[in-house]
Amino acid sequence: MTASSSVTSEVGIHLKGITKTFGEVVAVDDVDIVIREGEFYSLLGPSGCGKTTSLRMIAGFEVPDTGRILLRDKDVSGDLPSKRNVNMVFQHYALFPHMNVEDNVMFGLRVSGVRKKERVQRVAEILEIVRLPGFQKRKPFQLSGGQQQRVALARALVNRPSALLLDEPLGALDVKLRREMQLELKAIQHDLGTTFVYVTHDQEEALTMSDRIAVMNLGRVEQVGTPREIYEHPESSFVAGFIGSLNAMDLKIQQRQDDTGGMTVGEGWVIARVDADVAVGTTLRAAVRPERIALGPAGAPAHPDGSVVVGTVEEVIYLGAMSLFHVDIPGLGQLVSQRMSHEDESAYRIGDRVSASWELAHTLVLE
Amino acid sequence: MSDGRDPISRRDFVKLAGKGALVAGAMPAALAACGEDAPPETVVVTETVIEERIVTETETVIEEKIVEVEVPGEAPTTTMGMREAGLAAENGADLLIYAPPGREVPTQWPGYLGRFPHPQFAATAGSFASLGELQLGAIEPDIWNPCFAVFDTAVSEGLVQPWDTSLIPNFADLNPNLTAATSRDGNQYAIPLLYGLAIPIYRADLYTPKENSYSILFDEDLAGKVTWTDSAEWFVVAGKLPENNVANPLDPTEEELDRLVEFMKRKIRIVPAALYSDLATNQTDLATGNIVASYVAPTQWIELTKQGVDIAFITPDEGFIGFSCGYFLMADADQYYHAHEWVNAAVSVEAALTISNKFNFGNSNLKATAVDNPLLVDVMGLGDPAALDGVSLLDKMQNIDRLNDAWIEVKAAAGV
Amino acid sequence: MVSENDTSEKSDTSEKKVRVASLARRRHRVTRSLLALPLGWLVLFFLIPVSLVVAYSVGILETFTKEEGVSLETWRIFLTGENVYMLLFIKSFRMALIVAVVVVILAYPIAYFLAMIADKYKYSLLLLMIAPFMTNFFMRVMAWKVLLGRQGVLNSFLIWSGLRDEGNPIEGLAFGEIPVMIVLGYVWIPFVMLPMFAAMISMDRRLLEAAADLGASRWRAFWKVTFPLSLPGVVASFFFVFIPTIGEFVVPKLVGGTKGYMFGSAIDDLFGMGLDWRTGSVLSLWLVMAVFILALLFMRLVRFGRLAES
Repeated sequence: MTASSSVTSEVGIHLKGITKTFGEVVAVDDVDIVIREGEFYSLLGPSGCGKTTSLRMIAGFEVPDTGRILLRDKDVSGDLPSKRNVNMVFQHYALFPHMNVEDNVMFGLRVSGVRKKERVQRVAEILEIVRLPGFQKRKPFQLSGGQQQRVALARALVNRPSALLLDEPLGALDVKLRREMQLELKAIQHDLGTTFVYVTHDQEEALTMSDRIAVMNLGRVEQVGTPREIYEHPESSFVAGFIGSLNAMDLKIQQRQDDTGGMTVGEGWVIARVDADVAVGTTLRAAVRPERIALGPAGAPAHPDGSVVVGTVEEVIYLGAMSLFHVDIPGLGQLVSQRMSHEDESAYRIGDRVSASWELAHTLVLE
Repeated sequence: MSDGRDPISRRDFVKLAGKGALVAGAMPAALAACGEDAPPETVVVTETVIEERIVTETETVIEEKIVEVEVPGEAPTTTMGMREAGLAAENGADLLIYAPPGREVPTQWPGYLGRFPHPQFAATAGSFASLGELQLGAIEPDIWNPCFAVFDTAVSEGLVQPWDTSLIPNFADLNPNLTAATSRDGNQYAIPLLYGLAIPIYRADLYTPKENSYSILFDEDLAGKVTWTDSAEWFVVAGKLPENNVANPLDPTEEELDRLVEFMKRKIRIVPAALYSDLATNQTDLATGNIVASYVAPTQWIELTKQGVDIAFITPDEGFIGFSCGYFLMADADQYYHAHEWVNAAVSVEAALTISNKFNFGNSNLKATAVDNPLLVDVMGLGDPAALDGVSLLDKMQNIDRLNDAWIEVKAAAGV
Repeated sequence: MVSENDTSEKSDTSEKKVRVASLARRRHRVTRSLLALPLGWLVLFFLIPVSLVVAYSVGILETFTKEEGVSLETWRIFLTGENVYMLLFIKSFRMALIVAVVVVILAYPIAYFLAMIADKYKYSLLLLMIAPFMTNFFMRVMAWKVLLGRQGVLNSFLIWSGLRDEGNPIEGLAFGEIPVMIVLGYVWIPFVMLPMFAAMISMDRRLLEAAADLGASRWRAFWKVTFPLSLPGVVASFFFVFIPTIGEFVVPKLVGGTKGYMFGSAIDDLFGMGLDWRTGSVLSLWLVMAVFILALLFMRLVRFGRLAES
């Protein structure tokens, strides 16, 4: 996904030096986050990383121990949730079970005293947008999970919040529906231009939808960047490991040349771009993503200018469009290569001797 | 007694009955007489009983000796052979006596033990409650000891059979007014044991009666300071008032009853609190002056007087209402001869004296005048065959179910 | 070849069908035998007794020979208000309504506090609330007489403090309609709390966050979210009090005096002292029907509530 056109340079939400502890547990540890107006911003990380707590602090359900929260440059740190012009889509939707769709969606409008005629009209409009036209009189229990999800979205969006906070909103849906909803959410965000702050533990979801992602771990922000930056240039082994699959290895620098360094592996070698101050003999943590590894005959590697190692196919896993090849490289360990199933190189079978090679740029140096 | 009610009612009733504090009998004044063995406070009951049992054992031994001497000349020779044969044919240990708790104490039927096996006892929870149970066949005793407001119903329903008075030598000594009230068509359906007068009493220091009449209990000047009992006998009380013009208060006509119901519905509003079924509370209330006038058995008057409360009773110009209690022989009794032997013992002079001394009731035996409390002799006219002349004995009430119905409606109306 | 294949397939499916059918039958048998127990229970402890009461009410059965014959006369007298019992029913209905409403209103904040505010202490506090009710029922009722009686704690205090004259205590607290309602309310409050507590404790707290998030004040969130969602509990609580209260006769007997006489008291008396099982049966059946109709209504309301929750 490319960045959407609605992103501006203005700051929408600013978390400044936020720390939050629950008893002994530090949930959020000195976090700074700047979310731009109109941005689709994801907080991504495993459970307990502090992403939901951060979101709840933006909404006002939790009060930070230290630090400040600015919404459009206004300090809201001490405001009640009801006073903040942001709205939340809850993990399990939290629709009011005793109200029909219209009353659910209208709730915020009623509270803020919007006139009835306008209320009805705005509800109808937003239901159109979330593709639930005519659902006004249904009760939540009469709706499917996906429909409930859209009502929750409508209920929040109808208030025209300065930012929409989404707490794992697709977590309860099945895979197919989740994919659909991802695209739909993105489309809605694009159309409305509202800032979305999206909490998820699903890296694929974050990559698909976000303009920018903050990867969080143990209450800290590990890296902030566009999906491409995060994926292709992870700044830590945590980020690299959390986003996408990875073949990790220890790279003991045996030789240096210009900005590269490398080591031999059997009759092959692994090379990477390294900083100037990395001396021969240093061991680095390096990795390569499975889809970057091309397979070829043992004597004719696909990328002779990059890293080339030779080994034996141990396992072939067919995934439909893709196939995974587990190749045992003596002296290095197992590498996983992901290839398109229709490509010639997918003809390799277990026991075949192959060369695995990838471009210089695709050796990721993690630390 | 509660077959048709929901289980909760029954359970609660059992609880109530078990507590002993709140027996919902139809005629608590009469009930007071029946339950004379059970003094108002439950705790005291046990103590009394234990005490009496200890006394009893020594007494029984003495009685036995006397009886052994007396037996040969006791019964007429004509029935002698039949009686002996009858007694021999029965199993005396099965004699079942359905009586208020306390009647099982042998001093109340001296001379029986030793000659016959110990009979069995079952405790009643009030005359009308036991009537219901007997009618349903919930219990099948040989002898039943209620108060005789149930007389008409028990006899009409065929629940009981006449006693053979020739088998009860002590019968000859019983008060003729009482025996007459408990016979019908020449048959002696019940053997009276004790009696009482339903007397209006008042705190002499707090009130001066306007007339000598039961009307004190309907005096609106005493509104909030009068207690009634929870009983249909109030139609008899009200019926005796000249203003109500009822020919026979013990059996009012339909028209008279309708008038009485209206009268009672009007008057029940002066009763402040409970229609008492709890004698102890009533006594306390009279002692403290919370209640100024009440309707009690002489027992309570005597006890209050003993406590030094300035209490007086009225001898109504319209005549006293009285009640008596005693023994029925059940229609299907199978210990016929033992029942007669036992009843004979239970109305003996010794038994009668025990009743009067322990519980301040009048006793049916004209020879039992040597009671400890001289007040009792004076008030109740013990030993005087004419003492109950002109007293309206509740035993003669007719069609009491009609009065009970009317009474419940009066109570219901008070609540509406 | 083809035909062979066909037949084998057919026999296969028919076999399957047979198996399915026998399974279904077995399941049916199990269901039926499972139903037998509650059904038997219903027949033994409800239908038979009720039929007996019906028989008494129309004179098919009688305890005492009154020779009134089989008729609906007793019903007619009751239903047309010829005797006082219909009025007494209305009075008892009114009392039960007042007790139920007041008790629910009083218990609601307690339930709310326990469920929504008391946090980790809620179950300990709940136990504490219920603890006094493990003592004997009569003791608890009698305690009220001690408190409210003419010489009770309240009056003694008022007289001691000079707020009332010695000879002029507050009357009508020891006996009457008001004490009956006070005592009944007191007896029921802890039980009444439970359904409401349960309704609130099972409520999804995120709904309140959602309401706050949408701009609602706490007060508004309570009225728009918490209260409607606790309504099934409120309705249940209401009937928990109302149904037993309308047929109550023990408490009226203890603290009712002449004014606190209730419909249940009349039933008690008619079966007991009155020996009038016929009228007693009519009144009992009327009460059963009234309670039954109310229970139906109650179940409808609760079902509505459940639907709303799911």
